Amino acid sequence: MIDDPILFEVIKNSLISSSREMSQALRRTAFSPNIKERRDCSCAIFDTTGRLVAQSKDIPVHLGAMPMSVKACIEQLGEEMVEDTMALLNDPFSGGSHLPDLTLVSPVFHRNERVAFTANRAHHADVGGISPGSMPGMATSIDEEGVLIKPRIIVRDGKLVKETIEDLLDSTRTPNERLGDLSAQIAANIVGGRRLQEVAKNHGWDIVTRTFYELRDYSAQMMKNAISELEGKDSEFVDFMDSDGVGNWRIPIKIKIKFEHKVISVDFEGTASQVLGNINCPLASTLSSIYYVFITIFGTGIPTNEGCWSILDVRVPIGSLLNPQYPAPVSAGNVETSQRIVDVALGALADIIPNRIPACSQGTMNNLTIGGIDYRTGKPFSFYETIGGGAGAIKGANGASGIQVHMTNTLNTPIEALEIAYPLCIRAYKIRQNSGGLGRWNGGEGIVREIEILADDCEVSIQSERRYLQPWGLQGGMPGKAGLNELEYQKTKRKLEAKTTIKTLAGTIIRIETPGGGGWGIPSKI
Amino acid sequence: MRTIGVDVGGTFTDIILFDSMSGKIAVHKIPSTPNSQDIAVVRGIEEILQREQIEPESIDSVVHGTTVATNAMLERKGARVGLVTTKGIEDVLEIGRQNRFDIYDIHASRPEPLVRRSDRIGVAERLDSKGIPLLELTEEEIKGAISRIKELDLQSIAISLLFSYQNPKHELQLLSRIKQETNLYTVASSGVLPEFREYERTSTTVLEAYLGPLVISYLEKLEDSLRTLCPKAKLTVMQSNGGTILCSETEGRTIGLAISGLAGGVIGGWNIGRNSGYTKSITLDMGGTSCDISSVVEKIIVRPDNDVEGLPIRVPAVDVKTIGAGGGSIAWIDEIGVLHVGPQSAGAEPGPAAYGKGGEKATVTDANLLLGRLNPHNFLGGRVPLDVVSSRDAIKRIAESLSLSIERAALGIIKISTTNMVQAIREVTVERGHDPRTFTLIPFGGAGPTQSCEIAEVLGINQVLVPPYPGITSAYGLIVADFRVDTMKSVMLTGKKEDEKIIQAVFVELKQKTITRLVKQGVDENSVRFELGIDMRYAGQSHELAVAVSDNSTDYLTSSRELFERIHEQEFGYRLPDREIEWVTVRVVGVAPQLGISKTEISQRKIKQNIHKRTVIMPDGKEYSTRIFQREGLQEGEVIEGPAIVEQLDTTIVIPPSWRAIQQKNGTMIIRRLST
Repeated sequence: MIDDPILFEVIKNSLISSSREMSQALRRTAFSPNIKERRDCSCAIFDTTGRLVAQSKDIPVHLGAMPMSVKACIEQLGEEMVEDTMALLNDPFSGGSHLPDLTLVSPVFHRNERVAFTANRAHHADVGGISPGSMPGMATSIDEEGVLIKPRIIVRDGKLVKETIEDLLDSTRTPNERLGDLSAQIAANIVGGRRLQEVAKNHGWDIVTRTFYELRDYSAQMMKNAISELEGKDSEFVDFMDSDGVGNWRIPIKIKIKFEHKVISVDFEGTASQVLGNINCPLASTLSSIYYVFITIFGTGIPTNEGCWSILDVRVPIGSLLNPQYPAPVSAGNVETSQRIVDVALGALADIIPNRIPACSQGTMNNLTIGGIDYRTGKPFSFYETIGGGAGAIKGANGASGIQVHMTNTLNTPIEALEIAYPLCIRAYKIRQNSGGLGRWNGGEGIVREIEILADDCEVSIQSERRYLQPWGLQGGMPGKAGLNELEYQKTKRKLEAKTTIKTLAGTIIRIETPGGGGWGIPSKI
Repeated sequence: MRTIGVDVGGTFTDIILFDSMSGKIAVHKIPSTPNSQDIAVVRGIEEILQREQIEPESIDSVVHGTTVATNAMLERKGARVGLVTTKGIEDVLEIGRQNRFDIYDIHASRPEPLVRRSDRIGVAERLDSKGIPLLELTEEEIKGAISRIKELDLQSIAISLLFSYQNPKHELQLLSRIKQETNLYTVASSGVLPEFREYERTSTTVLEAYLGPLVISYLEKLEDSLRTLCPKAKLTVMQSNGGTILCSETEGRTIGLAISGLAGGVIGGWNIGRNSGYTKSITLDMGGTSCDISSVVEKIIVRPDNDVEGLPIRVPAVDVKTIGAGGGSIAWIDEIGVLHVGPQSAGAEPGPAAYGKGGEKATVTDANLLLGRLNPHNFLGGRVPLDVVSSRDAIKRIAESLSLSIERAALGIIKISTTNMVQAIREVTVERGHDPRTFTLIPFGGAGPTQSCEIAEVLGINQVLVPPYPGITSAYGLIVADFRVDTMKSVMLTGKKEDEKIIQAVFVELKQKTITRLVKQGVDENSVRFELGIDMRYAGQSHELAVAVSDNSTDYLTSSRELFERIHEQEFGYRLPDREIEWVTVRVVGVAPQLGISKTEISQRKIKQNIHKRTVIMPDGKEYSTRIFQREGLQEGEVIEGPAIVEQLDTTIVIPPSWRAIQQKNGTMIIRRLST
């Protein structure tokens, strides 16, 4: 199957390191703290049909979804994507995830022929919409969430054509930062293309593209081996979203998993229909979440590429919460609902392979956006972050505390970077003691984060989950504590909803306590 | 000028003595004393001076490579550190950057923080991002912190407050009071790493506190002993960055010694490769306990940030990977009957079964002995007699559990040990996009040359270069390393006209500082070469590009701006002519060459060749009646066809069938694979 195992290994690793270098270029040249410090961005390399070949290990929810973006560009732009062009998109209904995630796709050419694609996705701090940060809690239509960009060429002859993104620059609150971050995204694809050409110079494009196929077959075969012992097993599970933020509560996500004929079939029949609020999860993000689960459980040592999910047959009912149609709002789906998809899939697998599945982790990303006018410069600002929490315990080990789980892995913004960039002051950032579920092995603990807003007339949006339904334990382990959002102004405290958008005055303190993870096994003493 | 290099390894302590007048080198090797490394260091120096009949007063400098800091980190045996932070961020080490290491690891985890929860002390104080106090540090808070410190059973203190890199006032207040009122080793982040990003700064500062007490007391003890032994010698220590530092300058900088012991090997191996004209090399330093691997293309790679077991260290260090694979690596069988080798090692005490010091477990050395590759009467020049019967007994136990012949079991042990090293070499080559087949393998350490051709074979490497004295290559690296001092200063300028003056002044200041520190180490001021650089970025970015500028420019602003934009375009494909540029950090590296040591001056002792034969089982599993040579009896240009064995004082070189060795003029030996 593999022609030259050493060459295969060398090219495979060169491709992975090329995508890592793309990520580095993106982070190193970006302007917004969300990208340069939190690294809320991902890079990957694709074949000419948009299948994933190699990726840097960045943000899981981005990575599994990007192939659909590349495929959307190929379908909608086709031959328009000539040499030295790049296409931009964020359309959640064709390969996008939520509007702030801008994906940039570049073809790579050799002798006038397309031989590969490089692409990267970065979360921009503001793309317009009714509230700063473009994740409004009360939106009931995607039109309120910002500018929707269908695949379009924005770079020609290697240069950004500003006119092609006028709508974005007009609606964002921070156009200068957008331009800076976009040039970083352009840089990443340039670096990726250049590295690919170097690899091909050493080995020839024939060999490199042959390796694309070998890689896919290799990973597919490895995945098949990994699931072979589970043939015939099946299971189902249901869990709930707390709310959609506009009046709907306890929204079910149902999964059925079956290992048969060397394929894993995953069916979401029985999941709620799309809802009025913003927790609808675009198909690409739903698939991404499922890919993540099966890679972590069966494929940790396997190179991640399209081959890994060639053994998956995923059915998601059209018009459901996990495959919503226009004009459903989606801003929290990609970040919150994706975490619940992982929970239900792990819940189902826990019946089949109990010793390999961890208890429920915090199950949210605790999205916080704060926007307004920075009194120090007189200019608008838009701050976005997600906060870690407790990881679920697994047989043999306690869950980690204060850590990003499952579908995200963004870093925090260092306090010393954050306070330079924004009129904010971090008053506390520490472990939330005793918030993990007890068990034979204990769940990890959440985080307490307290931010004082120094500017007047700001708008704060919180999109969070697991504020009511606690992260469950497994095999007799106790659940982790639910999260808590609070506001303090002039010494008066007030509880905030799980999903909310509010106006604040200078001196307001936002306090977020993130959920703990579930415990595993019966605690030795209660 | 006479210099002694002393390198402490897990098993042996190596000593090299170099006389720059005569160009003569003498080497010596004695067992390490792991619990107090200084005992073997001092004894080794005494012995070599006596043997070579050299006056102790004539030694000008002693350069030391030590693993005291590395071992403390790996074994987590450093000080119990108390961390004083701004109130509210006491858990900064535990939360880290909030991310996990592997996104697809279902058991998300991070290493245990070095400071336990009870030892984190928050003080009420706060600076804003410009360093202006929002909340002053009160006397009451200082007292509170000190009484907490006294309640706890701590050994050292790290102070890391928010924005202290902008204004160290509160940190310095705490520092001086804590030093006054306790006897603890205390460091402040503004002194250790005055850089933004609280987690990385705190982690580095805590590591300094974690290592400091141990390293300083070790060096002080050693310096005391040396003062009596060689009264005129200056003691310098190899740093992780591949340059040396005066021992008395290490307080508060012990973190710079994190991988001191490894840097010498990389420098030594690279220097030998370069002197033979090879620019792409893999250095493989295999001793008794571990194997250190580095790949070098053109020049040594010094990385600005590193981590040890997942803990970030923001100090420059050479790029090297260590695995637990050495001559003393123990072979063992797991519960389902699979053979493993290492990472546990029999070390120097009791050592491999063959040492006859009570070790009963089979090691790589035992396997080599059993296969006839090592000479029981001429191991390390005959100083360590090997006991074939003990080795055979040890390997027999392994062979019986595996139902294999003793010879097959021994071959298996070597094969597995080889695979472990091959894996590590792939990580430093293939994973960085380099094809190892285009590299030269430079094996050294006592065990490297014995296994190197086998390793090369698996990797498809065609060329192996064996240094003249493989066993002491790390010590050799110590004496050929440049003196090196890195200095930096954050300036944060925006390119206004008056900024030129500031840059000029900072360069002058840093050069002066660099010279002062180098002269203290005995360097001639006129031999100092400077490397000047400015870290620059577009305003709003948070990563800088290092721009190297020429010395003595009159207009750094203009020349660096042009360079920055060009490099930015080269690296990232674009420039932003409308954006402001920031001049963030000014750097000066001062380098002074060592004492004019060069390839021709390494003279190997010559003896008369006395070829004999013995039966050796080669990597192909076949027995060969094999010719045995003495390295010191080889003539320049002499060609040896494999199978053959070359023995020398500090190692044994195995040349398998289909390999051909040539002893070179400069004392190295090149072994090439014959095309098949």
